[in-house]
Amino acid sequence: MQEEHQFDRGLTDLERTLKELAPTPAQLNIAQTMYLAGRQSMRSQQQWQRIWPLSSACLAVLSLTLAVLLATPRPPHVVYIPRDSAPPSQQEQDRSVAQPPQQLAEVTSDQETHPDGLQPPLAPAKIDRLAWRHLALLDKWDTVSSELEAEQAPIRAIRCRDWRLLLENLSAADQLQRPDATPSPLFPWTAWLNLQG
Amino acid sequence: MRDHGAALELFAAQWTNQPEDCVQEALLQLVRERAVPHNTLAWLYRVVRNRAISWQRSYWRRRRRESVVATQRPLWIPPPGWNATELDEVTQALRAIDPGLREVVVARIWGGLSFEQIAEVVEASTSTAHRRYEAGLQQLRERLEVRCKKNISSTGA
Repeated sequence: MQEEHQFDRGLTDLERTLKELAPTPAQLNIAQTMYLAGRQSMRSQQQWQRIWPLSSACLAVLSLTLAVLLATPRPPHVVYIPRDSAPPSQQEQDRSVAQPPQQLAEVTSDQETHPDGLQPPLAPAKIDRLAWRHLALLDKWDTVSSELEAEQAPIRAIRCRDWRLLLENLSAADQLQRPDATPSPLFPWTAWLNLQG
Repeated sequence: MRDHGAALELFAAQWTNQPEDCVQEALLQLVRERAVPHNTLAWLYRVVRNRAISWQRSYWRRRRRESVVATQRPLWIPPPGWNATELDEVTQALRAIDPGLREVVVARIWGGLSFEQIAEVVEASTSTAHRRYEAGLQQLRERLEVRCKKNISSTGA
């Protein structure tokens, strides 16, 4: 590329004069430089070649760690679930106040005259199986509203009034089937607890 | 390496007294480059320049330079018709001018770089490189004329 630059004559002469000077030969050791260059090029190749062994070693360490973690016994994982004590929604409360069902009214009267004198708990919006079991163990079936029982009860519960009718029917049927049999001195717990069917 | 090694060392000698190390490292860096630079010569000059400047900033390298300053080698091969005094005058004049102008003059006269390549090395425009070159030559001429007058007056006395 021919460059065009115009200097005055003095600068051009100086430029030409300075070009006569030649710098001293390079002190660079060509053999050493070539040797180092070869080493550098091999080193750069080796760095790429180390990728697979390094990745394999990392995966091996990861596998070993996971195996140790898997083999180590750990305490049981306990999950605490809080009781759902949310009150019934406003819509359900309004509906109950406006048109109380017949069974709910009966249950309410039963609850008010509960022989134990215990205040029935507020009916939760949703009762799970464990809560049903807890009520059954405490013999507090009567404290549960009939709506919830009909919707969520795992088995059909027997109410106080039903128990009386059932006992009367059982005794009458027993007498009909075995008129000469003497009444059993034992209380029919199985039928009373409705465990047969 | 044989064609440009001497000029590269002269270029690096502006900043450091270990120019051969700078040039060697620049060549090794060129080997490590995955892609060949677009303008290899300008790239080499730029790398040598950056390395020489960084070496100069290093404290320990500066100490080393001070320790070897006594063994500094000459920069020029004496051409026919030149004596040692004239060579020394040129060397002193080069060292006295502005470093930004000096690197352009050295790269242009002894490196043989074009103004486009010099512009790439010093990271400036071509016109700036041209302007710096002219200013550097003017400063050199002024200093050499002053020295020549001093020499003439001293020899005449």
